Amino acid sequence: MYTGARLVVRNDNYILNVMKYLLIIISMLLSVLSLQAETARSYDDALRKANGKKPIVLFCYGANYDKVSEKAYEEFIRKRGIADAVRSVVFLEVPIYQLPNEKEKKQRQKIMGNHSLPAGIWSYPCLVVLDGSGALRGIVQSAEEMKDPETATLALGKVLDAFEEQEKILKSAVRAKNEKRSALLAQAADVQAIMPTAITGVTPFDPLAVVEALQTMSPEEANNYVRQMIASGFFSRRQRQEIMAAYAGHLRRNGASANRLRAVYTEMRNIDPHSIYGAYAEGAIALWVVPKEEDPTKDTPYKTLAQREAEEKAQKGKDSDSSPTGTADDEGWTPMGTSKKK
Amino acid sequence: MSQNLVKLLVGVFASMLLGYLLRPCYNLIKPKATETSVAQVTIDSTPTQEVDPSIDLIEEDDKSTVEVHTGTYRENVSAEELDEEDGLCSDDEDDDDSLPDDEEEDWTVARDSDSFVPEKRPPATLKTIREADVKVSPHQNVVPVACTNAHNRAYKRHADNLADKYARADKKRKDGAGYTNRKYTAEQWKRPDVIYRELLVKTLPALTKPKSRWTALESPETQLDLACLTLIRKVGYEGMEKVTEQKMGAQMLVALTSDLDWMQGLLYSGPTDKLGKALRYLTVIYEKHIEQMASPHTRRIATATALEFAREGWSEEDMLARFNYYHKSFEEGKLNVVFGTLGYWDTRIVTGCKEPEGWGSVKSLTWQRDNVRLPAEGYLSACNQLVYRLRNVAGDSVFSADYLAPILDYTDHTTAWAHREIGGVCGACSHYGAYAALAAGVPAMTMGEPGHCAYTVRVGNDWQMSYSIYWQHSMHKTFFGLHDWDFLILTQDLYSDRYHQLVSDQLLAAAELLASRKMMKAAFECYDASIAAQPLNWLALHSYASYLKQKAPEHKERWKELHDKVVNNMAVKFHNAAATYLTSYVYPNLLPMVQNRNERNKMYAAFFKKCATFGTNRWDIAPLLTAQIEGCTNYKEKLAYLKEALKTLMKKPDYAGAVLTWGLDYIGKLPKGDKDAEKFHKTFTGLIVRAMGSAKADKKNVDAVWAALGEALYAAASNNDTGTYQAIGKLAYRKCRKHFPKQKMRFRSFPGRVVSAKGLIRTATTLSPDQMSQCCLHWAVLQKHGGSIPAKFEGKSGMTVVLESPSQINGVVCVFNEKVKNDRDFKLEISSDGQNWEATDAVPVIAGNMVRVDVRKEKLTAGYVRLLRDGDKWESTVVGFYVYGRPARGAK
Repeated sequence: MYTGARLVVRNDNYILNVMKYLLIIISMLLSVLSLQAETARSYDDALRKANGKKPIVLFCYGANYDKVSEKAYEEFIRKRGIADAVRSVVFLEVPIYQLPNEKEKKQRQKIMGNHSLPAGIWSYPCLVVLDGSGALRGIVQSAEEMKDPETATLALGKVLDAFEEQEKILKSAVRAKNEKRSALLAQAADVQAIMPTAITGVTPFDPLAVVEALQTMSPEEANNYVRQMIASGFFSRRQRQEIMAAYAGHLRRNGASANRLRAVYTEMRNIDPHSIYGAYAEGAIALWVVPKEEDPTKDTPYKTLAQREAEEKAQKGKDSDSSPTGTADDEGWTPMGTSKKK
Repeated sequence: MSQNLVKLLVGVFASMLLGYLLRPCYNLIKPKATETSVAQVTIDSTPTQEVDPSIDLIEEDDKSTVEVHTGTYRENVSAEELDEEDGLCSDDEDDDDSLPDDEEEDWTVARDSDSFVPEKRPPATLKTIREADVKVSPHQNVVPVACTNAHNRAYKRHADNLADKYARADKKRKDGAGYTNRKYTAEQWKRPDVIYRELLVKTLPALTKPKSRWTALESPETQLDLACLTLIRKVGYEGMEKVTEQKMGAQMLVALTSDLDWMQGLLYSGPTDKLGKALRYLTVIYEKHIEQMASPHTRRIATATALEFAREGWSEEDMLARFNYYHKSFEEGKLNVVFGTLGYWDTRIVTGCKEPEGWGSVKSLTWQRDNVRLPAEGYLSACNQLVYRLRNVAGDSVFSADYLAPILDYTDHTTAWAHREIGGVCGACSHYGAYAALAAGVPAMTMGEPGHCAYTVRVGNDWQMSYSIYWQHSMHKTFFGLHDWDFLILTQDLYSDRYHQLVSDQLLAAAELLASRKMMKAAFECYDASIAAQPLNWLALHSYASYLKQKAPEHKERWKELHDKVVNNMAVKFHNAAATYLTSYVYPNLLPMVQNRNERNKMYAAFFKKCATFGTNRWDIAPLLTAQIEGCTNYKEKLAYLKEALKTLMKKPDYAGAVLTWGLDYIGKLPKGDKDAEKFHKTFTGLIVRAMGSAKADKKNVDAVWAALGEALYAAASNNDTGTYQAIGKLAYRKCRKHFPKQKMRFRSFPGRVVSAKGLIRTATTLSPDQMSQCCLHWAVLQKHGGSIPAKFEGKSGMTVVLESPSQINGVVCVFNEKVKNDRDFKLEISSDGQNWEATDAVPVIAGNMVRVDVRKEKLTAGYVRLLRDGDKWESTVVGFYVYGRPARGAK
């Protein structure tokens, strides 16, 4: 009897211990699962899981022709190198085949169904961000960004943040009307994510139409035209830079002074110095404004408006003697912030 | 009596002397057409008759019939007396370093690689094989009879067996190691003449006899010996010595000449022009990468790069940079897996890609390799990564340096990157697509089209076009100096069948070697076997035609046999290539010997029989037809030929339009004022119109007839042939009425009758194939129902109308298919001869989709009218064009 009671006590302790361990294991599993991305089996499955709300991230890679993709797959997926970045999204692996055989075609059909990848993918391997409806909203695809999981994680994080920010602005834009809506849409376009194409109310913009419109205008007309466009607030930073590029090109081809060109290109650059048209403006200054041996813009790349105006005034005197086309005012130019509309 | 005898003797002696002196010219003078059946032609070519047994291959203009070979051809005469003796044939015609490469007329590099204009075809040239100053064996100094079918079958059987053996040996190999045999030391390679003679003694007997030839070629040792002989023969002693003088040059030669695979890759993977320079380039790579050169891949990349950079005349620095790029990228696994599977010949397409300083610069290639990584088929749409922009966002034209200039520093002068940021037009888009593939090691190339640039990428073994809008493609990379699409596919098919090509190329090497040793009989046999082994071997066919022309220009049977070989083998798939070969090499030699009209027509028919469709791509049949008709001696024969050709070709939907166009062009170029020519012209036109009229336009054929008539109509317009233009237009209206609009055009007219209705209208735009098939609607533009013609207004280009006769003009109405923006002016110009134009003072009025010009006040008389527009290029479609007035007095 005694022995038996002891045994019962022992058994009770044993069960308790087992349960304790089980609980620990279950809680650990749960915590691991909560850290893992929601992985989809197919494109349709991803759309279903995203439910129109969650972003979807596709990892597209060359499956049978590219060693760089193989390496990326190993490091990004097998070694879970980008697990942190895709924790809160629906994740799908998309193998891309070169001259696929029957088995590979079936595999592709199984994953993509009748969907095709969105236009805009330039290189594999890449990480493609789609919104819940499947519209392209961002891509991490350059060799620099995809060189290792850490860099890709950072880049993807930025794209996902930008996507969230853009979504918020777009939600506000949907509620807004007319000019406010256009302005909000321009603001959304400034965020480093791709605007969904289905959105309505975006002010139509064709940079070459601006070039064409400016062709027949006098410098003063051109200045007013450009200032009005920029002041409207309907255009994104990139579009404003393109407008300025058209304006500067028009002035350059019509013999504007170096001083004038410097001002316009500097203004263009300062809209977004790190963008491609920021670099374009920088190049234009070096090429068409500054004599080869000096480049003052390099020393003071970001000048305030007051600084620029003061410089303008100081240079006016010099240019009025040397410039064959006269002073800036003669050419009908108004610097940013002093346009008639404003 | 005795005086007469002396005179006679002197005369005989003088004529003998004259005959003796003129003998060297004999072979070069085209013989008059005489039908002879020669079983065996014996040519007496004693060593004393050889004017110059030099070592070089000489470019001989096909048209120049008399060209005496003198010592002036030789570049190495004073340097290498040994060369003279051994009859080496140096491919290194530029090896004299004092001559800059760009001074040579090199058709493969002379063009601007950015040009969109289809390549100008190089003149048909044949190379004369120089012979060594050796004794001629009477047994060998004969041209063997032309091959019978049985001969050819036997050759083919032998070649198949040999190719099978090569394939089996390849399969058996473990770890990819091929045959190696280190026979000569670096020191020995400093005397290539000794090696050459030693190898000749060893190899020549086996190659001379038909039976032993095939057995000899089974042995890797003989193959390697033959390759070494070919190498020395092509480079010349002086060229070889230049290599040995380089640092590590002799060591490189030892390594190269000990390895059969490497030697065959070097010599049998396409043209070997400037082989000496290629060897020197290879030595430079060898010196810098001696350890890696043990790898077959490194050898392949190095050899292909050296061969192409030497052939193209590009610098050593660029060559090294290109080699390093591909070698390093491959080693690091950054290229598409396709690159690892390439042979020597297609590696040459990749590593020898053009523009080493622009799109093909290491910077640009590296950027594309890393940023445009796609499966091979993905590169076909890579061109779309660029925004198509004639002007950039600043309004600068793509044709000015300002287009990219501001961004170049930012993009580190990387061509591809700069264009992706700013944009480009067809040239940049196509280069972007093609070079993205090339950067990844996938064979691709750009190609010119009229006013356009497109490109092609090889997916698997299939060359696929991208961004193409016309059928004329002029490949920017070519092996045989011929730029049509057909030659690209022919090259692909030729080298895809690696083992037959290897057999054929080795037999070609043997043939050229034997020819240089004056073993004519054996040389002819080797040529026959080489062509039988691989009938697509363009280099063998070219070399054979040269030799035949040199040795037996009057041997009708052999020329006829060559004709038949080309027709029965090459023409089955490669109509264009076969036609080019026949036109360039066979017809000029064979046709003068075929006097019987029926025999000639039978030959032509045999070719046309092979051409049910256009083959690999649409091609220009005109040069072939012109060559054939030029073989006719008088107008009567020409008409008979034309009748026959039309009868055959009008039944083939693909060719009907092309043959009509050619016919119209041909008669358009006949001399005016010549009575016979005019009569011929009239009969010719009648024949063509009758041929068109007899074409069935039932439901099945109506589209084909419509397209054929359209092409012919376009040709008539191009030739200013109003009568034919109208005849074709009316015929099209009768046969294909459903294709024309039904309702009349409605607008306010001018007084007088429509004097343009019986004239013709021309557009300034280049027509795409689709537009070309709709050309009959051009004629309808002048008729009351209206039609459709693509219009392009740019500078002095616009819409031109030729009136039926000089007329007094009251007004012009031009109707467009869209509303015309009133932002810039139209201009009306008139002319009496179509050459000298005069602007009118009338102000064209734009109203909706119509432009009206009232010239009643000006009282103008003209035979030609054209409408122009100010400003940049503007394209639209004209649906009606009507000139009102009345025929001027005295006008017919």
